[in-house]
Amino acid sequence: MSSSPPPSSAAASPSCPKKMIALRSSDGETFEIEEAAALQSKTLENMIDEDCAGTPIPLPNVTGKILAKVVEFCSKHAEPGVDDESLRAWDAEFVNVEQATVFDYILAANFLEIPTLLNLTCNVVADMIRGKTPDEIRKFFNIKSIFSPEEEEEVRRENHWAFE
Amino acid sequence: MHMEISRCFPWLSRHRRKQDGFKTLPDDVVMDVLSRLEVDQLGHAKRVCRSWRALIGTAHFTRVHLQRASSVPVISPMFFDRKVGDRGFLFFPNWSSQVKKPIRGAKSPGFRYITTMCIWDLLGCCDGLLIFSAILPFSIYEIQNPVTQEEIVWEQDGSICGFFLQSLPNKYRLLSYRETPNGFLYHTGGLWPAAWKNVGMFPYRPREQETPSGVEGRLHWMVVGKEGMSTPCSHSIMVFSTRESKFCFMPHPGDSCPSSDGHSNMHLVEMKGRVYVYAIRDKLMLIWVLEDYASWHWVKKCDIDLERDFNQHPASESVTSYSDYKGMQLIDSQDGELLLFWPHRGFFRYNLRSRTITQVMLGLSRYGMMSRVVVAEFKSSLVSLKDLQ
Repeated sequence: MSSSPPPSSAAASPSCPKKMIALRSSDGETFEIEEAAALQSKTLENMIDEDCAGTPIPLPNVTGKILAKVVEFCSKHAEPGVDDESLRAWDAEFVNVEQATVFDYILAANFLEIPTLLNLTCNVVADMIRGKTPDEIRKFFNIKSIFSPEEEEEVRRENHWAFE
Repeated sequence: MHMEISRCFPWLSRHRRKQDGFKTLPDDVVMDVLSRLEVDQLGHAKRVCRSWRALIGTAHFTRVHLQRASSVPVISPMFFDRKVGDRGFLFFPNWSSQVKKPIRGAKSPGFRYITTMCIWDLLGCCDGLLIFSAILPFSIYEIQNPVTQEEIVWEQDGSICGFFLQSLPNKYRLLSYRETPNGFLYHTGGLWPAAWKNVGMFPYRPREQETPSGVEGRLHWMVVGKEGMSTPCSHSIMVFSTRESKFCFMPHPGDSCPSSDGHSNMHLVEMKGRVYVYAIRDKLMLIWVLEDYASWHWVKKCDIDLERDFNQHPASESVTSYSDYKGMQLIDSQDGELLLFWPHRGFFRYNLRSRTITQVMLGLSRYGMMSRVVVAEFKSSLVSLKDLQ
C-alpha cells in the first residue's frame, strides 16, 4: 500500500490560494498584498527572493496611510485584462490628490522601486511646474529662494533661450 | 519684546504648514521630475532656487533630459534662387497646419563677415546640435545649439559627412572624407586639434546635400563613386558604426536596379528612430523599413500610387509626366500618416489607410521656388558647445 504523497507547497493547483505577502508600515499597520502585485516593487521582489516568508516585511519609510494606497496601486496594475485606456483613467484618479500626498507617493515609489508609480507621480509634479513662471512655481510648492541680487541678474542673463 | 507666536496664538501651531515637498526628495528624484520639462520650461525652473539651478546645470542632467527627449524632423528648404549670405531658415513641420515659428538660432549672427560670404547647408544634427557647411567659400563649418544660442564656426579641410557622439570616450566627433587618386579617405576627429584618426579608404562617398540617418549608434548614407558615378546595388548604402569606428557597405532593399543609375532616386530617411528607404519608380513611391540591422532585413512598408492618390488634389493639375513626382521626399510619419514634400508644390499629409492627402499649410511663401528640402532629426537639448572639447 502506498501512502499519499506529501502536499507540495510549490505546486500550483486551481484550489491553491494566491500567495500573499504581509507588509508592515512605519506606524505598525499590517497590509496584505498578492505576490504578483508585490513584484511590481523591485525592493519587495528582492526581499521575497530572500525568503523572508511568514513575518511581515517592515517598511519603516512608509506610513500606513500611504502604504494602503501603494498596495491598491500595485494590485490594480497586476490585474489581468485591464485595457490601457481604463488603466490610464484609473491612474489619473489615483493621483488626483493634494500636493503633499503626491510627494509622499513619490517617496514611497522611490523607496520601493516601483517604476510605474514613480513615472506617474513624477509626471504629475512636472505637469504642476509646466506653464508657471518662477514666482508661481515657488508659491505653488512653497519653495524658499535665496538668490542674491547678483545671482538673480546672472540667471536672468543666462536664460535668454526659447524658440521665440 | 519677542514672544513666540505659537504661545500667543496657540491655534496657529495646529495648522499644518505647507512644506516644500521638493526638500523631502533625494536629488536624483528631483532630477527625474525636472528632466521631464521642455527646454523653455527649464529656463523658468533654473530661476526658482539655487538647488534647481545647480541640478539643471550639470552635464548629467543634460544627458538625462536628452534621453527623455523625442526627436522631431527639422527642415531646411532649398530654394532655386539661393544667394550668398542666405542662411535660409529652419523650421519644424507642424502637422496641424499651424505656423510654427522658425528656430531663432538659424538667424544668429555668428561670424558676420563670413556669414555674408557664404551659402549655408544643413549637414545634420546630433543631440540638439545642428551642423552646417558653407558652400562658398569651401570648408567652413558651423555647429550651433539653437536653444542655448551657442555657436562655433571653423575652417577645415575635407568634407564633413557625419557628426556623432562617441560613447567611449563621451565626446562628440566629426566624420570627414577627402578625395584622393585612390578613392575617398575617411577620418574621425574632434573640433579642437585632437588627433584625427584614419578610419579607411573607400571608393565611395555620401551623396551631396543628404543628411545621414543615424539610429542606434550607426550612421547611414546612400553613396556614389568618383565623379558622382553610381555604385553597384550591393554597395549602395554605407553604414558607419560610431562604437567601432568601422564602415560597411550594404545593398539597398528591393530588386537590383535595371539601369546604371537606378538607385539615384532612392533615399534614406530616419523617422521615429528607425531607418527607411524610399524610392520613386514611375508613379509609385515604394517604402521599406529596416527591421533588423544584424541580418540587414528590410520589410516593404507600402507602395503609394502617387498618380492615383494625388490625382484628386489641385496641386496635381500641373503634373505633365511621371517625372513630376520624381523629386518627392518622405519626411516624417505619425499616427498612420506620412508627411511628404512635393517640389514646388509644398507639404502633404498622406493617410495610409484612407489613401487620402491633405495639404499642410505652413505659412511659408515661395513654395514655387522650393526645389527640395534637407531634413535632420532634432531634439531640443541643453548640450553646451563646451562639451565639444
